[in-house]
Amino acid sequence: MVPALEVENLRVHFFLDEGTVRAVDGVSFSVDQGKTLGIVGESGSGKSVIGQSILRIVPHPGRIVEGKILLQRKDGDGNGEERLDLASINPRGRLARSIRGREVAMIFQEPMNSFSPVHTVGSQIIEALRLHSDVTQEEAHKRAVEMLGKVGIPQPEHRIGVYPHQLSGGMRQRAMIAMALVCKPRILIADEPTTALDVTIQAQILELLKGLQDELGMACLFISHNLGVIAEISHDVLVVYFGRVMERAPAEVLFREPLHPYTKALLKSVPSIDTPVRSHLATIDGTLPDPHSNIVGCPFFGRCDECGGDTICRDDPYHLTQVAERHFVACPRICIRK
Amino acid sequence: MSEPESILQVNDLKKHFPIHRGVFRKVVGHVKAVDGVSFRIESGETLGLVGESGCGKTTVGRMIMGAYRPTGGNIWFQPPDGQPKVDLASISPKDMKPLRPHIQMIFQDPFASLNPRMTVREILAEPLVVNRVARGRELELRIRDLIELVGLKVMHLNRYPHAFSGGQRQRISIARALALFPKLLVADEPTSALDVSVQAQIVNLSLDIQDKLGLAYLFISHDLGLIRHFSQKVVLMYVGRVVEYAPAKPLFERPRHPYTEALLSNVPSTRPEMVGRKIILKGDPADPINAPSGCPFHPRCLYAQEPCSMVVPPLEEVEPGHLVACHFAHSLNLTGCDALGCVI
Repeated sequence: MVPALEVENLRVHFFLDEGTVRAVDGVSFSVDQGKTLGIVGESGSGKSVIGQSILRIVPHPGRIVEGKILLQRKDGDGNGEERLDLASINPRGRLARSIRGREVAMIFQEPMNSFSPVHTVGSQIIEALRLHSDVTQEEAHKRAVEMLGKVGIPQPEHRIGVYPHQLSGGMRQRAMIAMALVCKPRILIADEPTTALDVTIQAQILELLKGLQDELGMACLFISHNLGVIAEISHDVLVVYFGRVMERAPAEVLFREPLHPYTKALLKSVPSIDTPVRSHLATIDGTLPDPHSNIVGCPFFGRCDECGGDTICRDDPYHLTQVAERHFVACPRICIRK
Repeated sequence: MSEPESILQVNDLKKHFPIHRGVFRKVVGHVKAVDGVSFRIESGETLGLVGESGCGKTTVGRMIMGAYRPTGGNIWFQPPDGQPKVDLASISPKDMKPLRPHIQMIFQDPFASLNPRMTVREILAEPLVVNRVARGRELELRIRDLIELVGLKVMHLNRYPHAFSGGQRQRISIARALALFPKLLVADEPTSALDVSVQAQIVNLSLDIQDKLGLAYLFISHDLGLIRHFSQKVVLMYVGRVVEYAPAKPLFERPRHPYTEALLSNVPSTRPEMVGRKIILKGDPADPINAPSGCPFHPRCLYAQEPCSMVVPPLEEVEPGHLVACHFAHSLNLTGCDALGCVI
């Protein structure tokens, strides 16, 4: 089966006066229809930029300098399927605009900032729908109400006329999901969609997203810093650090038997049921490398407590090696020993 | 050994914010942010205050700090020098002043809580100078002690806050809070703006400092995993009220309130295969402006029965030290962390 989205060796660099920041530096992954890929990393790891580059909304002075973003879509006549390289299209062009919202949709962390405060929720959903498909106002209105009902907003006929500020945080995020999914996109990019929400509401939204994915069959890219959320929603997980993939594995493998020292360290630093109460939590020494630096070897070198300063780790050029079926690791020690 | 004395005792604390409308700013209603909260903090222990956003946990912290004047209730504080207890809820600002050094606060956002125009040295010196605790050579020594206590170096003292990462700034905030040898530290979501690896550093530092200095913490957070790790006792709030107040272990292992049970089951776990059933609550938390009649949780509660919508359940002791505000606390058999398999 052809994956719904395939990213090959993506590099997004930001050209600043102080130097070049390699926000995404050689990231490859693919997502199948109906599956969720979780992207987890700390702040500054480049996880959001990956999402932005798929939609081609990387802010200036960032640029895709290398790589392919292959989207599986219906071809021009609507008969067959084609693979379109999103990295090579004009981000301001008609084609990019017709893909955004229609085939690739995004939901953001703070729904208050992603809705227009001066338009009703309904008019924004209808706008998205009418922009991308040839429907009448009445038909669009009907479908917007239907969609609001589907995401669990009570009294959708009434709520379609309210402004975003009149909704609670959880309801706003539901409305955001309704707006993203109303055109039935093939790919949904969710960038920290539950971070601003309370746990009970977060559980509702995760449940909703899973249900909608089963129903509509879209592929989902779920970006979060919360390991628990990622574990619950993802089929596959990508652990990113310093713009690179450190480990990629099916969720149940990654959280049961992580291989990369960075993944292990991340998992150990949150208190779990096995952690004795009031004991010291495992920490990661040091800080992220200077974002302007161009590191050839393992970017985790120097903070890693397993390699013990092994020069292979510093010098061996970064590469992701397959260690088991669907399990990839970028740790020179593990890969070379193999 | 004598009974551990409580450093802080909060009784039936209330804060109602008036809502003004119209030309004459007429009061048309009240936001009952905190509506009858009671708990006590023993000296040297950590009390975790948990709840969802808008439940009033920050307001409780601010009332203890004296930033808000309570609408009702008492906050009995035991000054460390053996003087009689004072009620912070009704104290005059003049009498509050000598007590302020004993209660200090750490804030959530380390980017907003440090003055960008002051060097770290000035930030740490300010409380000492204002309260005339130290000057000259002594001041410098105290500042050096403080910065090393929180794991930074003397060479950092001349830098400005922008030169530090989030975790380092939070360390500076902690050093500033410790400058006056406080007895109680109110920490309002001290790690929620930080990455997990940095959060772990701050948690470890806070534990070390508590052991070293014998501080009491009021630890306000929405992160149940951290609360479990940190606290000896836990207060769980819902829409301005305490729903459960118990030592941490029984609260997590055998909760007695349906809200606690639901909350525990909703914590995302990194081991999905171990997780049992999830209790997905319907709807949003109640509105503190017009909270539902009876138990504020009843519209979302799985076990709600007739009396729940009519009578407000009192906070009652169901086991020694375990207080619950639920009409059916005795009859419900709720599942805790272990049975739910949630791995927080």
